[in-house]
Amino acid sequence: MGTQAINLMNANALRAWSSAIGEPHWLLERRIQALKLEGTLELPKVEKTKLEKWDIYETGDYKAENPWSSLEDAPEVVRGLVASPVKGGLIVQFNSDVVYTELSESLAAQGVILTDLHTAAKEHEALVQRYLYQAVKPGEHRLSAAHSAFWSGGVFLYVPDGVEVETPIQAIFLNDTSGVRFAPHVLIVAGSNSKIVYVDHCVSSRDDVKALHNGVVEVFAGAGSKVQVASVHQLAAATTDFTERRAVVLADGAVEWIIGEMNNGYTASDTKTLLQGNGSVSDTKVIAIGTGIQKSSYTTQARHFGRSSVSQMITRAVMLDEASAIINGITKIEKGATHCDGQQTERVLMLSPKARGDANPILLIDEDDVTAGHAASVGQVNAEQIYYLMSRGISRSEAEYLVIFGFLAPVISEIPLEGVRGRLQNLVESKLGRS
Amino acid sequence: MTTLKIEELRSKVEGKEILKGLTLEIHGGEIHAIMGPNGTGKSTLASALMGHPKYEVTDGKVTLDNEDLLEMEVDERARAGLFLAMQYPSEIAGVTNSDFLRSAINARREEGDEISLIRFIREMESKMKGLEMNPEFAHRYLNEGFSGGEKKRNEILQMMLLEPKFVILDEVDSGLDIDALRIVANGVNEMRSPDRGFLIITHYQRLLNYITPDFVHVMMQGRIVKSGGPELAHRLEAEGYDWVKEELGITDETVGEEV
Amino acid sequence: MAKQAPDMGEYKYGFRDGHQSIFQSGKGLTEEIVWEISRIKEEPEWMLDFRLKALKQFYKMPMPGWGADLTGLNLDDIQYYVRPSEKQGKTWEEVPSEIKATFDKLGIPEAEQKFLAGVSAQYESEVIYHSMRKELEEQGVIFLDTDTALKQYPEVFKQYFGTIIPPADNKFAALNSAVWSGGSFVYIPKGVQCEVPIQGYFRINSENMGQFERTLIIAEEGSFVHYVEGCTAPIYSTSSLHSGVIEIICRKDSRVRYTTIQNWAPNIYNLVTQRAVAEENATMEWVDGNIGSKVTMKYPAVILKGRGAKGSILSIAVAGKDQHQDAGAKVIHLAPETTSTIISKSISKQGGKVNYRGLSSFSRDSAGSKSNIKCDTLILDNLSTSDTIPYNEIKNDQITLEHEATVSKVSEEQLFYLMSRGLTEQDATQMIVMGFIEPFTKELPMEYAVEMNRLIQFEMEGSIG
Repeated sequence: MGTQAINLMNANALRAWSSAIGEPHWLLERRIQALKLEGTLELPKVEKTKLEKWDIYETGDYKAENPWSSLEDAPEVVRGLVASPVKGGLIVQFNSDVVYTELSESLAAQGVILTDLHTAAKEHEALVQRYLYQAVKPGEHRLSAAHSAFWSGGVFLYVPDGVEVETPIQAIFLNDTSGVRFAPHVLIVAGSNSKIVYVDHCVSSRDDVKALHNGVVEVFAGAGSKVQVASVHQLAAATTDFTERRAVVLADGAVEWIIGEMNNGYTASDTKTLLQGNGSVSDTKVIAIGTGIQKSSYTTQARHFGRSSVSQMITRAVMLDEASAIINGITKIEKGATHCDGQQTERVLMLSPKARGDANPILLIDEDDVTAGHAASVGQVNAEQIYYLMSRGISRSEAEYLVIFGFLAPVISEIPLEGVRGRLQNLVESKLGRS
Repeated sequence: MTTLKIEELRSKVEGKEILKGLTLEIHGGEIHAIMGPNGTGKSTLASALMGHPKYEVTDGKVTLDNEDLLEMEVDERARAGLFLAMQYPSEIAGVTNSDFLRSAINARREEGDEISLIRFIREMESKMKGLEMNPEFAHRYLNEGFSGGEKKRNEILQMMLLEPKFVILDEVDSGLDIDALRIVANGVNEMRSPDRGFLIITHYQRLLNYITPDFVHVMMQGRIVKSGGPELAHRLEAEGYDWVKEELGITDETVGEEV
Repeated sequence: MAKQAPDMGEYKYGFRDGHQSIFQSGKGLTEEIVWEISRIKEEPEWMLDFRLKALKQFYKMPMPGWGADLTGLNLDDIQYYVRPSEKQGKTWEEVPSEIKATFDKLGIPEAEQKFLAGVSAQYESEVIYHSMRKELEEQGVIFLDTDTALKQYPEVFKQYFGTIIPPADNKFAALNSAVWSGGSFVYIPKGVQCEVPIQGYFRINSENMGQFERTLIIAEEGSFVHYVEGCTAPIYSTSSLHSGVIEIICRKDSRVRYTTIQNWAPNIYNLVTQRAVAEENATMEWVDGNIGSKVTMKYPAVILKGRGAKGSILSIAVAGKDQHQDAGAKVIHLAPETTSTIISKSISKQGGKVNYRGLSSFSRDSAGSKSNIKCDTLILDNLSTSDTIPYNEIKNDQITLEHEATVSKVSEEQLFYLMSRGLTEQDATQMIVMGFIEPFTKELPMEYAVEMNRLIQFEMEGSIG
């Protein structure tokens, strides 16, 4: 079927690049290991999705960028997302490289670390060595191997034990050039009883930028910690997005995912939480709008190992035009994970006769002393609601928009940063054809 | 004569001690009322006596006619003659009220001595009539979709059909309008007999206008702090609980129960 | 006070008689066996061709790579055809006494007396006893074993046979198509309403013998029929295979209900393909109970082909020790304003595994269609497991789909409540379980509801503690 992957960079080139940017030896070795795996592994199996027909074979060329001295000359799209002055922390990746990093002095003083991942591998070697690739392993499939071999830029965010950070840490990943490598790796490590909010935005500058975003987010939530990750993807119609987000949560820790899937191109994302510790909690909320001829697959997963762990997953999607989305929710309760509660909901609004929206809510239960449930629904805009709004003098199209917006609002309103929230709102409006 | 004897009973819920050494003796023919503000452990007493799995008895002794109640499983307590009319009865889909009632009656009879269908139906229908329950409720699923008042009447119906030796009514008056209250009270009064003891748990004195208690107890901080006759209930109705607290030097009457 | 739990190792209907079969095909499947089956049955040429093509298909297709574990099933170790006696009994008196004794134990004659329009009882591979009430015959209803129907009604048979489930549908449909024997053929003429259920009994009684019954039901315009199939099988030490194919055609405005309660012995692989097509305003209802077997893979399907067609699938599955029930439902909405309802109740206990696997699909032409799906699972102990794997495929924006599922153990509050009224833990649990499957039992004919409750009670005893 699909063309055989051709690595633009062989092992020698990878070595040369890694040493040029001064990576420690262990990291290069891990990259080389991953590169070897890439040659042997299959593409990931994505339910009802023919990934092999997607543009996922070209990793892209590494493109070095000059660091930005300030945000003044940053592209409009970046300035629009950033609150000035930056309160907590900000990191910006432009194509393959991180070009801007800023962290408030008070956070730095408390031991919070925010850097690109290359720098972290050098300066916080022990930490990065311990956590990198531990949640999303290079050997899972060909794309995770490719990512592990070739990622560049990226984010390392570390919060020490007991430190509670109230102001969100922001990251922006901007791609403006076709064919470049755009594979950031985000690594978040939250110590015991710490608290952190991280918000990122992944964006193409124009709709014709053709690239592959092969991104990984790894979150390690320590015992009793609270980690919130909000992420909005707004990539071009010509760009393919393959993103794996994964959190490992220890005892009484909590991870919250808030995801806005607003790409215009092919998208496959998997947001998964491993509830390792007793009493751990995860909450996953995803909204998605499918437009054009976009094909997408949105998977959310919760896997319970710890006793009395609780997971909640909600995906809401609006399908327009000829877009198609396969929405999978998988709640897995392992043997011994007693007193767990795993709940999931998938809701799809179908707004076009040529769209497709599948909702597959899957429960895999190996333990009796649990409660688990799912609900899924697919349908149109509720006619009663439209009638009610129109009876108050609102036009049909406005009423429909209000209802659709209301359908997505519970996730939008959860985005912690004003700028990103506003952008997401605008994105929803424009994807629904209102701007 | 039937006697329920509670001595220095202590009980924990989710690790928190709620009953802190409660002592009470009730004889056949007597009606005792336990009153008290929210969160003082009244309902815990009812659940602990019945043997709810969440209520752990840590100390003390309870006997029903000299038999150790605390050693028994929930169903054994029921068959020994204890009945608890619950504040929040469970709903069980797919099981009809009448099937359930017949099983419960037969559970306390010997094998081969099951109640005949005809007799059962006759008894159930006559009791339902007395409680002004729609006969249709016999065929509805157990408590499913019943209103608060309907559930309470259904509890009383079970009490009447099971003819227990000892009855605990846990907040049976909550959520009842005045007519329903009268009907429920009539049911209880009908069951009054020298062989049967009652323990009525309530916030309000209004139920006691219909069912006259022999003894009234006030519960605070997981214990009985004051006892008296029916006049005590009247005074509580008129003056509230503050005077009791003042008299006993209690500032916070609760036991940390979430209200 | 608790009742003595019976030894679960003793399968209730696991008795076995000493009946000698006239022809046995020997183990393994070859082209010669297919020839031989067709020859013994004196079949027309086209059926032999059909069988041989299906056999090729069977050889070609791989074992399913999903669902239950079939590695314990050795297809070379199955006996593919057994014929118990030369001719069919027309009345109960003519049925061989040993077989009759077996049926006596299963309670078939009583069932017939009380309820049934006709009995088509399949013993091993061949239908041996068959009777039908006169009124139905007079109305033109045909109720025959499938072999006889092929002889007597070759045209209508050829027109429909294999059209809903072609041999290439799946490996076991191909196998059945190659070696099928017995099953029921039901034809209900236009406008005829069968007021009483029609019934067939199936029974496997020969070690390592596969049973490949083939049922075909055609309900003409505006007709109604309720077909009831019950299954019990004796216990054996090595695995047996049951692989039936059931095809149902519901013409315009007709209604067909197909009720099965399967209680296979715990060593049987039960791999059934059953599918109905519902035309304009027709209604198809599957009522499907799966209790026994080692492995069951069974997903009753309704293809809603005509405008306004309705499909409903109501099922329960109970998996006990060493059992895997992989059951579910499929509804395919191909026309406008079609509706479907799926209610699935699953119970796993004593280390059993029970899965719901389903599909609700809406095509481009399914505007105005609706689907409502509810799956509930009770897991009774910490050895048992359950997966719920529903696929909902939507290619139309004018549809409504609602899907709900729950998995839980028996509620502690409910147990406490019932026990506080004097019921033992076992009786209370049983009562809750019976309540849980009540949406299923209430749809059964009374005789079956009683039988079902008895089976569940039997299954439940010894499950607690």
